[in-house]
Amino acid sequence: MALKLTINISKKVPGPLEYSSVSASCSIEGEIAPTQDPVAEAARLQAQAQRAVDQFLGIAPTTTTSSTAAPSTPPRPTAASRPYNGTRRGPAPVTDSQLRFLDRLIRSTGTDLNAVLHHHQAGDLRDLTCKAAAGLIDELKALGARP
Amino acid sequence: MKGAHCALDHLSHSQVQAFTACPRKWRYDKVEHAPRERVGSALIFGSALHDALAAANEAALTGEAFDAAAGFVSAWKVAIDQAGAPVHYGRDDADDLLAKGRALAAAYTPPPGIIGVEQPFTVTLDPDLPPVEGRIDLIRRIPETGELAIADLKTSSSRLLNETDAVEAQLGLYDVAYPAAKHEVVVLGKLKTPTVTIQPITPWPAAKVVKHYREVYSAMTSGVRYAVRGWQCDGCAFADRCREEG
Repeated sequence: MALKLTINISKKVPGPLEYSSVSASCSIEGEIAPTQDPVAEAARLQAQAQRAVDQFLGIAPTTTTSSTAAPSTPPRPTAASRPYNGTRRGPAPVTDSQLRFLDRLIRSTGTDLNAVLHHHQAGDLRDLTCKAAAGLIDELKALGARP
Repeated sequence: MKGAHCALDHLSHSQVQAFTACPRKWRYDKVEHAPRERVGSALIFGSALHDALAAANEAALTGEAFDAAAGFVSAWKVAIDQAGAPVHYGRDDADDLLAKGRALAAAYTPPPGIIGVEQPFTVTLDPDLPPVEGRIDLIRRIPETGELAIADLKTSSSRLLNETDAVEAQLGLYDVAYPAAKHEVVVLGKLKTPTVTIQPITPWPAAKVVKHYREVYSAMTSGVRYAVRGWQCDGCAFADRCREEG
């Protein structure tokens, strides 16, 4: 009986404009014969899909990864983690400490969170950059210090 | 069957450090989950000081006052309670360590411009590797230049770190996880009068970090388990078992 193999790769990178992003995904479906090594075949297809996505996004291949050699372990899920693709990432994101402090400041100053998000064109405080969060903290601190 | 020896769901800088320091100890701890025979007082001390300084840094970010010396004492008590095994003291007994920790914590002044404390991250260095997890001690914006700096806190017997290779590797990993222009170590000198010095570090380039993690992971999953003998065996959590194994 032939085995069915489905490989999905999707990636999102910062776009050319502020707050924009570009995403690409590639799905490969196929069958493998009982004589084929499913792990090696999965790795081969994953590498192909990865190359296609990276090529579309204009990302240079990782210098240390051999995309043709089959890895000895199955590919691991990376959805919950930040993949390193050999290129410099976008601006530094907001830190957890900043988020905690922002949450406190927003509540203590009675600031409308939706107005803040709208002003920064963000869906969530987590979408802020580290720099934008620092500026917002300064603004809210000044607001809280007013008599 | 390369992966048959152990399955790791993640890696970390400390895991990689622990493996390279002594593969056998790492295997007892992380693969076999063997019960600890003892806990070294240095581990308790380091953990308590780390917690106290993290609280001091978080307070600095929000502009609040914090007594780091008192924070150390509280964190020390918690760490002793949670040790889970008898504490092995070396040259210094508990009172000595408490006094040293209080003095170090009291001498600590958080560097200016803190924006992140204990920032967690997960980064996939390579599709062949498990994700690497960690926490960045400190992220700050250098007031003079506006540049972002990633810092790790270390204690040292001198004012500056003499051996920086391990921290270059650590900050190289952090640099992959969180983009920053500068990298530094906040060195707490365990001197008669404690010192706090910011030491700039040039992190490993990303390619070197990835290569190192690939090589160490390969050794981990290949079943490498030789013991590294040395001064660190005194107080090792698995010293008795290791001695029996020969």
